[in-house]
Amino acid sequence: MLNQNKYVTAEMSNSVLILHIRGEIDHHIAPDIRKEADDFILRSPAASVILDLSDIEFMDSSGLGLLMGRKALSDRLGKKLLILNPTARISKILDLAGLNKILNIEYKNGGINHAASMHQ
Amino acid sequence: MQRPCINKLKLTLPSLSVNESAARAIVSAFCAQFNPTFEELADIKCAVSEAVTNCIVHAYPDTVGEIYIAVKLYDGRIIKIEIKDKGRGIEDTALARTPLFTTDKSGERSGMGFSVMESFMDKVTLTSAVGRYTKVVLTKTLSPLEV
Repeated sequence: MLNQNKYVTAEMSNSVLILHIRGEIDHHIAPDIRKEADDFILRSPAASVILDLSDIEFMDSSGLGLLMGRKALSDRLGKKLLILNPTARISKILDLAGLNKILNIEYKNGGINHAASMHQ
Repeated sequence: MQRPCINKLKLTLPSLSVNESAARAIVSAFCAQFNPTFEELADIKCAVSEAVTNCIVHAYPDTVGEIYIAVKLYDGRIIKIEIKDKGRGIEDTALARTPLFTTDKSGERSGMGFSVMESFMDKVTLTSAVGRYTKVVLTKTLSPLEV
């Protein structure tokens, strides 16, 4: 199943909801990404959610708020959240804010389905 | 003694959030003539995005005002970027710069804007007068060109 919106494409794999994010994450588009992502997260029965950041080349601190907000929502709903494959640039800003200690972040070369099976 | 300015850019944009990407793209395109590394250019883009976003969110919260951007390139691969607004100003600039400090209550903003600027640039100065203006100056010296 693939469900494509402007910034977020949703896919189910091994009962895990995978959200592929694209675009430059700044204050202008963060609210749209938030809305699209939350819509998928709230509608899906999946207990585990993966945010796939491998296509994100730009993110400023607006993205930190976006990720913290999705983590808070997932916690509230009792869902597990995994941040997958942030690029080196994104990792730099996540580390700076200390989010690498709060969020569950993984780097996987084995493909998204492998990550999903591990995150079930 | 001040180094000679080699080139400069002035840009004025209305404080519309759609201009965040335009501002960082234009500034980084201008800085590209110094042949920065990918990393250095990405640092500059991110710092500019933070400063411009602050103007939009904090300086002109309920109105659209002007954002004044001036970029100067100096001998010695020094880049100076001034981002100024004529918005409501900041009462306590030290507090505004504190990591994780945010006026936001929704939990969707991180309060890391100044920390990002400070981490990605060599020097960040912030001056402001309540009801008049806020000015951020970002300075970065690029690494020497490899020959």
